[in-house]
Amino acid sequence: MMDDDTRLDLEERLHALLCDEPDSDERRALLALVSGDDEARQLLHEMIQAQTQARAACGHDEAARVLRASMGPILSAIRAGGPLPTAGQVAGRGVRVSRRRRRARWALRVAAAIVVLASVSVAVTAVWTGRRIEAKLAEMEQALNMPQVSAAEVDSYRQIWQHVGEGPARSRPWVLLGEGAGRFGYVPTADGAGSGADLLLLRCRMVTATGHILETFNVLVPTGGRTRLSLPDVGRLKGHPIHCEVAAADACATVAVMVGTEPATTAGVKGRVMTGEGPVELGQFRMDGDRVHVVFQAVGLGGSIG
Amino acid sequence: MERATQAQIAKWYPRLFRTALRLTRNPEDAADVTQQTFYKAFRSWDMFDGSVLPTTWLHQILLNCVRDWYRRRSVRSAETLDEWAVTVAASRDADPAETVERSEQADRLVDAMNNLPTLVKQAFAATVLDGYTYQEAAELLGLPIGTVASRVHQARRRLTEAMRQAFPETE
Repeated sequence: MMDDDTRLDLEERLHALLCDEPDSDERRALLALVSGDDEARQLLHEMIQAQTQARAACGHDEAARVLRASMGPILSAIRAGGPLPTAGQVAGRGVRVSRRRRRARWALRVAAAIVVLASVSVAVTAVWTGRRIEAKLAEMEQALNMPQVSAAEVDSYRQIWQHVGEGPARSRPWVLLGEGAGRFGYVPTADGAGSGADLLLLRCRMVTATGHILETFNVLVPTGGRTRLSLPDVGRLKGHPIHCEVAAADACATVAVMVGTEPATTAGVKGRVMTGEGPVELGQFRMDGDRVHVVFQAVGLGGSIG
Repeated sequence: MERATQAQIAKWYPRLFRTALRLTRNPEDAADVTQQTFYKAFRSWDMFDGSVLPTTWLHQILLNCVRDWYRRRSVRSAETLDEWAVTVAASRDADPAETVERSEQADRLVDAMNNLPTLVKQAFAATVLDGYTYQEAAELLGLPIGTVASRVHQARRRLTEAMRQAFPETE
């Protein structure tokens, strides 16, 4: 249960989201919060509902078309950066105006109609913001839908870990498990500062907006120090090789995923995942026409070396 | 002050338009008044010193434009301008049948908004109806941001309760 102060603070942040104000970090943080927290999601739903109903009751829905059309000339004036029409050209309706001004007003309206067609993406107004956010949330929920690690899965990881743990003395292994394939290696000694007593599972899924899985792979790394890994070819996305960089510490891991080899077509995301928290979307990119969501989860498998 | 960008104008324009819509009660007039506001603002942008938020400055220009509009139209005197009134807008081209068909629910909601305590209604109108952020509304209303947050919260709660009592079957 949220206390009053937390709730008011969250309402302020969510309202800013509805006003399309936050920067991308805050937006991502809020969407992640709302997608993972029922109470926050319910609050946002109530806020959107209150706003939509209140505006509809005041006739704002009917006025939305006029709003979009009237914003066009203003935006085009800024875009052109040229001289602005006089205020008289947009004088109040019904007021007696000269023929010249009337002509100018009609010219302005025609210009507005043309500009509206060209700037339809810019002119999408806050009337639609709520719906866009709800659609975005639904999309994020789909993308973040990652099943929990099963007991059988944990057992299999432990067995694998035991095998690779029998390698060179004082070495710290890592294991990559992809679609029907796996490989392992050892963390360079200079980086292997920790004891390697615990095990961290990094789960990655690359999915479409509808949750369709395009690629998935898991990396097992030791904790208890800082582990840096550069893993080429952890999988393939639409035929392009995936490269993964991992810098894991005790409580979190910074991961980067890059797809492709040609600089012109390479896409990738980078971010931090906290151990023990739910799946987080690291970012999105477009690959061959599809939007790909990269979702990561860090699961601590304490004492798993056995 | 640096000139506003297209992205900023695209965010501010709907807020000013909604304020104009509440005050003129007509989309076409609201559009004219809002456009005048922005043209005036662009022309005197160099005079904007940044001591207040741009939306506060634009809001002041808008109020002046609305007062001029009132005078020209001789509809209401400038003295009676209620900056945060909750009103229902209707287009001059609207089909009268559609106006009559306004749902009872919408009418009750407007009544409930108008029955909010004045200070609560102001905060609600500025943020939820017009779409100003809490920070912008705080500056417009001359209040601490926490007070705005608390009043908007109160408004939402009261309106939800009013609608629940009026339409228990929609629960």
